[in-house]
Amino acid sequence: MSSRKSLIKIKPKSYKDGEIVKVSFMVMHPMETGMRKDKKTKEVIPAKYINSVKFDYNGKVITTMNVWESLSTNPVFTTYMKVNGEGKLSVTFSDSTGEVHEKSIKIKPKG
Amino acid sequence: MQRRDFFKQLGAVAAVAAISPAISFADEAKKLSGPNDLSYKAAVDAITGGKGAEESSKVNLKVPEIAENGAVVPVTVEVESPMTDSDYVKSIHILATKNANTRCIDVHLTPSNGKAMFATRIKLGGTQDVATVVALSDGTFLTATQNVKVTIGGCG
Amino acid sequence: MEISRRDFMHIAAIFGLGAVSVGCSKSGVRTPAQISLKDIYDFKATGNFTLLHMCDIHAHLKPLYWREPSTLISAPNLVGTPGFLCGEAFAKHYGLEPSSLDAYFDTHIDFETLAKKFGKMGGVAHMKTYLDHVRKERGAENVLFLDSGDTWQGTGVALKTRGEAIVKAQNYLGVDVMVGHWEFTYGKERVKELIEMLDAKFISQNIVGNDPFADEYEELIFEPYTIEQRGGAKIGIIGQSFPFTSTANPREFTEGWSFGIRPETLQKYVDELRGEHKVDCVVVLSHDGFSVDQELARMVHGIDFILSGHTHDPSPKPIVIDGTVIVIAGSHGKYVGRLDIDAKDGKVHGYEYKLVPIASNLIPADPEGVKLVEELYAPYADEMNEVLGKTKNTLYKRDTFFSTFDQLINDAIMDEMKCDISFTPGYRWGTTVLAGEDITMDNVYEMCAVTYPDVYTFELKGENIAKLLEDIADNVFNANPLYQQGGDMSRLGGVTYSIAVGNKAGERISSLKVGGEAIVLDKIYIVSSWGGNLQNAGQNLQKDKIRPVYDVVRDYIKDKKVVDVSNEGNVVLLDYDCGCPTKGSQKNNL
Repeated sequence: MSSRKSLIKIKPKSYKDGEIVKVSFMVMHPMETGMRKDKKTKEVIPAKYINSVKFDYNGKVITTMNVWESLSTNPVFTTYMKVNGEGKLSVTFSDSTGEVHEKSIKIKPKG
Repeated sequence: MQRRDFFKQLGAVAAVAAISPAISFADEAKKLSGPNDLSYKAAVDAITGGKGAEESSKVNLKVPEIAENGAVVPVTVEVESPMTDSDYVKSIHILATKNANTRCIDVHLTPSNGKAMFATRIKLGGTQDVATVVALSDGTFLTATQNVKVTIGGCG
Repeated sequence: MEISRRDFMHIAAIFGLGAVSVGCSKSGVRTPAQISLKDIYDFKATGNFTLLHMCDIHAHLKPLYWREPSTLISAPNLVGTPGFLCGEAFAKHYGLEPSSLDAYFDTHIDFETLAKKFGKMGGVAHMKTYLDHVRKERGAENVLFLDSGDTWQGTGVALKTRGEAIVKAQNYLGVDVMVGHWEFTYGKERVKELIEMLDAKFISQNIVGNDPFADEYEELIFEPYTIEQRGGAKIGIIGQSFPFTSTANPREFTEGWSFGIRPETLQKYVDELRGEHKVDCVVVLSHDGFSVDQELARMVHGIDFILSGHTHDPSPKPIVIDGTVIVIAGSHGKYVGRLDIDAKDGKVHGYEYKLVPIASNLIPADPEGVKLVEELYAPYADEMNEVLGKTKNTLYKRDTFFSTFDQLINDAIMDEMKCDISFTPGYRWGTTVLAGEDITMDNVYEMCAVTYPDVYTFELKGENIAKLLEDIADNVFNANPLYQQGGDMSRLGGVTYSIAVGNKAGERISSLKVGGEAIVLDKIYIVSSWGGNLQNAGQNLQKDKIRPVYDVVRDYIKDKKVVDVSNEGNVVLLDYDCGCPTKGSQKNNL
């Protein structure tokens, strides 16, 4: 499991059970296309891009994604989810070089 | 392997950082191509199984008219949908119609999303249409497109 | 008292007679000699409060000469519409009397002659006298002074004080609310410092954080709106800074901030002001540009007034689109817009507008302002007042393709950098120096005072030069204002070309020649440029040649002593008459 800088943000910060909240996952990742040359060495920079992402909430898959190299460097993935009790939200991704990364946060509805 | 420039057109930049210029001609002479190259038509056919998608006002595609930075173009897709078990958006696909590989992302949603919305940021290799194809749970496909201009800018 | 034609236009605007009234009234004819302060001040006060408006003064604290464009070309669908009118077409559209003060301020016609008759324009000390006149007439508590931005940048004193001198002038003038564009070229941190010094509120609904790891990600950087009480009315003012700041100017100044037009959130704030805050009047204070704001009025509902800026248009008459009234007040401190509004019970019941020319020979200077400007200039007076040389012909800035002052800059760059091609940006700000007059260092700064002044010299392939020109042309001539960035065409030294502006993107430019020879697509050319980011597209940057453009121009003028730039353009226009085309006009040559 890699130790990249990543974040999960929930909006609004405080929410109730049953509420639909905005979830963003952002990660520091180069998203190298493999089609770009180093300006100095003129060598092709090898491809390294996220190719799959999964959002799990208490073990249930909410959203999955197939990703290609056109996503920007340090990509952001934003969607919504329905809060359904206390638990854990995990985001997992793998990239084209086989790197795997997971980030999770606690979901704690108020009232 | 024969390679074709991913960013043909005005030759932009698969940027490492946001400070890269919107346009660079550096690699233009060497046409690079990638293993994932897929045309817009082929991508839409693959998503819809050849059925094609219908333009719909239920699909709200939000992209800027003029990209602030061709390497970081925000895209938001919102679809009118109740997101119930019987009627929901199954997937949202974002396509950059003139990138060598037009596919940017396929997002598979479930009723647990509550709202059919997805937002991300993509690289555009020049001025082009950005498109979204949306698959509904009843087997139909909707689409929306908008032109995004990628420019070196420079007036004021 | 006779009513002048311009006043007639204002009254007509209220009754929706605008188009009909043009050129109908002969009663208002007034010879230039008769114009007096009373005529300038004359206004039929209306309603319960007044909005005073300025835009794009570009740091001009002192009066200046400013010649409006003699060529203003647009995409065919926009020809003849306000925002794309100049010269005779402008005079005809607004019914200006030849040789009048209005004609002098609003058009290039007989500019040199009229400049001698009417003198310089603008200046904060003169502007203040007018502002105070209105504050006295209406009661200061019933007046708001709004600034559409491009205020902190454009002169030597602004550059040397990194905007501070201009903030002091704004505080002196009593600006209440502002938005920005060139302000941001001092960098985010400096912008925040200057806002601390500024008495006015700085608002913008269209600037949000875009660094995903910052706390301000997708959050507003400034307050989106402010609610002010004047004359018993609640006025909601929403800020709209320049949507294309990060493409038109170097991105590093605003790294982590995203701009854009953002009509969806604008609509949200309009609805919030009306629904939650029950305002009587919704105003958008904007730096979008006159044509973009006309589009915006079609997209967003419930805006009463847009006080526009950026494109520097003097518009003597408001434009009304889907119930939204749009005004814009020229540039360089030449005008103050006065908008009297009658608003109560959540509704605007009437208004009256006048674009007031700040004629410095007619409106006396406020002594306090004269003193302030002197103090602000004092530390730099020796440098600014240095006479570098004389000009044989009038040096001006505006026009779609070519201007004499830009040609002088290109001449200076080509002389020093020994390049094949020189690119000077088509900014809309600058100055005018009359034929036969001295060129001072202050004038050079008026043309070149940017925080990224370096001239870069690098290699660019012929085919890329052609592509760049097409790219720039599409920013200027796109048929859809939302895809235009504002600004005129880049000025090219060493190059001639033909253009068909009505063609589609990528197919406008032809007969492109460098040094009199047809461009060779795979040939490498030496290119110099400044004030943009063209150098990022080039190769083999000549680092030893990098030097600020104002120094390059200063040394060239000093060396020449007398400069003689002809007003002969380097562009052939294929699909219109050159100058100021009117609807349906056709081809001729430049």
